[in-house]
Amino acid sequence: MIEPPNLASAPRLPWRRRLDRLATGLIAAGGIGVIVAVMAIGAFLVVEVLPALFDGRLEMERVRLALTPMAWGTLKAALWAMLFAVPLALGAAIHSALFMTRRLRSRMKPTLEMMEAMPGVVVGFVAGLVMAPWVERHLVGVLTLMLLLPLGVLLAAGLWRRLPSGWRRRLSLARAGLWLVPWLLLLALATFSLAPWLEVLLFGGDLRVWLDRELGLDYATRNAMIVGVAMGFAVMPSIYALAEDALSGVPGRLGEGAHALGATRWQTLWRVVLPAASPGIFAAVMIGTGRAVGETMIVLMASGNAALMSLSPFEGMRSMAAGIAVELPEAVPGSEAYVLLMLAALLLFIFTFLVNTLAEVVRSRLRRRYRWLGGAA
Amino acid sequence: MRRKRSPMTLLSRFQPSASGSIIDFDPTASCFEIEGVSLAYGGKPALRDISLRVPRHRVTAFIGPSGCGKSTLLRLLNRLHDLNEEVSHSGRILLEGEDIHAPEVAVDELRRRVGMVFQVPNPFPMSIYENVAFGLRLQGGLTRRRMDDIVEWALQSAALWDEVKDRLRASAWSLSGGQQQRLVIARSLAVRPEVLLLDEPASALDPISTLKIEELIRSLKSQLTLILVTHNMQQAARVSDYTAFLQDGQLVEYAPTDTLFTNPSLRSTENYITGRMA
Amino acid sequence: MSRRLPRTEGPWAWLAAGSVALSLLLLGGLLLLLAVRGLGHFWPASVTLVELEDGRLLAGQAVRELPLERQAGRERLYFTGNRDLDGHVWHWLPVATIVASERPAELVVLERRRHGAFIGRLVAVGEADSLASAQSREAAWARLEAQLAELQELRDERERLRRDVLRPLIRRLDARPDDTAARQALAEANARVRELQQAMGGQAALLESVDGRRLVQPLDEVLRAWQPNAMSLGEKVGAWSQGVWRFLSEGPRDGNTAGGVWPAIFGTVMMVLLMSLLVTPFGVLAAVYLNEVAHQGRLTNLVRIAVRNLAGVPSIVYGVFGLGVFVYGIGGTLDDWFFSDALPSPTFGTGGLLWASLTLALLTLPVVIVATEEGLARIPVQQREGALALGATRLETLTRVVLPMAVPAMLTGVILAVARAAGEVAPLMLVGVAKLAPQIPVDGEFPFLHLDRKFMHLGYHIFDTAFHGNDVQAALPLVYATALLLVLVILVLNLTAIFLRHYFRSRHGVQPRP
Repeated sequence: MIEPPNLASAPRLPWRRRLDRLATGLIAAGGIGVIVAVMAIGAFLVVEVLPALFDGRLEMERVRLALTPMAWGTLKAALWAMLFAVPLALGAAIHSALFMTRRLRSRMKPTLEMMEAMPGVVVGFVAGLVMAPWVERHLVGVLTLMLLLPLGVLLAAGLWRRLPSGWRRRLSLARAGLWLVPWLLLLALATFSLAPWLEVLLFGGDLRVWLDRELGLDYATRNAMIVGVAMGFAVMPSIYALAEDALSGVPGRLGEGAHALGATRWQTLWRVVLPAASPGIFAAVMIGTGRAVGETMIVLMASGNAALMSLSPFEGMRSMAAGIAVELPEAVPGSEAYVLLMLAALLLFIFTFLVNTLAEVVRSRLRRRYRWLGGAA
Repeated sequence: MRRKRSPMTLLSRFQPSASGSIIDFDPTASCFEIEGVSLAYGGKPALRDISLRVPRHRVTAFIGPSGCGKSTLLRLLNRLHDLNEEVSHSGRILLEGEDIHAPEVAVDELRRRVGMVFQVPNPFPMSIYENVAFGLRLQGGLTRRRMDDIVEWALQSAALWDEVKDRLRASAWSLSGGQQQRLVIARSLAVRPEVLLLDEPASALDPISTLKIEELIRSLKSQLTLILVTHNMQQAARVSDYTAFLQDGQLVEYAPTDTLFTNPSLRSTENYITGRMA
Repeated sequence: MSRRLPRTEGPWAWLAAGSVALSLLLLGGLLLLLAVRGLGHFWPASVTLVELEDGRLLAGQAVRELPLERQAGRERLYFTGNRDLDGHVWHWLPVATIVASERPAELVVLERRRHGAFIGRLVAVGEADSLASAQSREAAWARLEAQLAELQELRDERERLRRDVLRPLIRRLDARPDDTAARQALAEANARVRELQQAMGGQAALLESVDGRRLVQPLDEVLRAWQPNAMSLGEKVGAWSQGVWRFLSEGPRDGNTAGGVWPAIFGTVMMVLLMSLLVTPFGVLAAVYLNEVAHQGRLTNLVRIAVRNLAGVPSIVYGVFGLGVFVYGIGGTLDDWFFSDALPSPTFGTGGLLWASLTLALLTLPVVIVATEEGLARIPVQQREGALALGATRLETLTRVVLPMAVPAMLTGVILAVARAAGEVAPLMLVGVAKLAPQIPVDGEFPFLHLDRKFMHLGYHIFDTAFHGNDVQAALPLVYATALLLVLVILVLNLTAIFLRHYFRSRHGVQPRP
């Protein structure tokens, strides 16, 4: 048995406490410094812009002239992106949270996260250089497909009901997200083979000519529709992730309660689950909008960068983010163009910051509500 | 019905009695002196005006219904409440005569002198050796040989050496619950504390491990002062020399264990004891 | 929760399923497109010899086929090479005018340093001034292959001399101009290089296009030669993998329509490395401060929310900040103080590696902070209490117990940051990327890492080539390949982060129950 050690003889390190205090101070200084640096972005923009606004270097008229088309372009691009992304993301979130098996769902989330990881440059490249010319050549097919896709899915549902129950079990609704893929492909192939015939029948052979003649609409190769699809693709995963969290966080008891009262599945969804999750979904859409507004490369590559202000989905636009990316390197610091672009950046910053803060506030309130309900948030 | 006891009345119980009780408790043989201590969590009181003396080299148990404040009191003794900003407390606590809350006191040294074992064993995700040596490395300046010696001694004192001597490098998390708890005791012993606080150390363990822990507590009495919080009254009766019964944050009764369990002076103590033992 | 609603259907449920299917379809389609077009580029395509109805003969690789505008029928795009003979490399041929087409085995394709590719026939190989016409095709081809192999060896030797002998000698002489031994060695090395150069020159090949025009092609300008119609499957696979390797290891040539993306890979990696070095300590520091040191009240929560919000600020805004503060502000000041003799040509007052890394570090800081904070918060308080109960100071608890347990989370954060930074192009357009950087930022000259140089970046390379190239059609396959590379790198990074997260979450969860 070894004798108990005598620690009194062990040298005590007196500077341990001093080190602790020093380290706490350093960490505080460093941490605060970092956070300040990160938040300095807003401060910097304000500092660059406000003096110019106030000492008259920048007239409101010039601002309006230069920034309005870009602001319009930004909003238009974001609108079209949302138009495409929100139904897709919500639909996917609803299916994922409420109808899918857990295993499939746990595989689906990372897969759709991959979509988010796609760099904007690549999506923009494919949209602007590959999709845009192709869509222009197959415009009728594309538009028809957009209409036919939902109908095609419903057709699949109708056909599914007639399948023998063995088949129905294997191709269950829970797995429909997977086996509808080949169906949609088939649908697309059918649409594109029929499209030329349709074009001749309805539009006298050339839709673009028809658009110009009958509706006075110009068709630009790179236009808002392309940007919408591309940016929607890029933004959809964020909305999906947040909406899915919101939907699966709704306490099961709410849905079960409705069922006990005899509501059908869809009624339960529509009247109970969705309203309960609506703040979260709202937050998801907000965050998606923020991202759509700030996306630069896709708009740069797929929109034609024309500073137009039109409502037509077939025409291009120029967004603030793209404008900044292209023009700021050329602008001389301190010049009017420079300050204008800084102002554009400041507007972008404020918009996204507000939208994100709003979304975060909504979400934290939702979390608190669920904690009160004892839900599985 | 509860009669209010003043600190002096409580102290008078510990004069050597005329009948020559087996346990002699000289006031100068007290390790901790807790005087008029109250504590509140963000305004809500958790301890009210507690005064008692903890005898040196004895096992003192704190018992009481859950929420009575026994763990809270325990954690005050090694100033773990310092971590929590919402806690406010008053009163004095003396360790061997020195106020532990005095501004010049080094908290880390206090915590070396007053070790703690928690309810759920919490070994670090390191090897067994490193767990025991953790406190030693903090002190610094020990040779490898010396550290090995101390680690072996600590594990022996915690009755764990034979079971782990061949696998000191294995991860501490590979041990069973009872072994982990003994490991935690060993690492506390390695820094040679004067007091060991044990917060329900066996409540998460199986009966056999529990007995081993109780044996260990008894064997450590000769080296240190032990304060044990437990909800298991049989355990308190088996292991401790003195027992304090707390209820609603107040000290209801404090007496040598035999006396408290066989002849409690207060109705509430009796109710608690008999209620649980029935 | 698994299925919480019983199995009755409704139209909307199906539409929801359709959304999932459509998303998967789009994602899969994109990846497939990149893979096929990107990887397919390196496959040695066969060369077709077409005879038109007006008697013309053309040889080329068929690239696309599109319906004719305003007429019936289709036309096909052929890549015919021979820019020096024809003036252009593309030919649109209406399919109706093609009378015959075949794939003769003897057609050769040469990849040349100037003028791009040559497609045609090989007549003879020999000394430039004594090219005999009487060589059989097989002999000429054999000689060509032998000569090219020899030339490659000489080229490699010359490069090795330059890199390992000449450059260090020059540096030594720069440091001590009176080092006669070095001067002599340099003269010898230079003489050797000249010898090599001479040995490389002189050989030429006599080439003939399919319509009979001949030209003499110096062999030292020929990089590779192959007979696509005569290659077996195994040879084609070999050529394909070599093509992929060259893509990854060579620099761009010919206005980004040929060659590889090595400088862009290097620049991207360099920048990302620098960025990680910057973001990791600061991100961890800020997270440690927020979680461990700061008083946990409303202010701290507000700061947390603000940091998360900053992750949503558009990357272009970070670029603007970088341009204004780093490039013009700090860079300009640095120039004034230290590099004023180089002005008005800016050293640090313009975009470069340092500013780009700093800007992206700022951009990804919230990612690292959030990930580290999550890791720190998951560490049970009992571990901290255990350390404190042994007499550890707060710093010791932090460094010896908490931080080691949070390393997986930190790692995940850094990987996610890297994945994000690798794909961001917009801020780089403002703070440092170049269309064609003449040198890579790391070389043998002091200070070895040139933080002020502009660098090439994979993402920017895609943008620039696709939009500012002269011959976008020719560059398109390489853009696909670059896009595929970028996407693969980012996907691998993200998968690693996800995997790490799951692995460590399962290991480090709650302690094993007693």
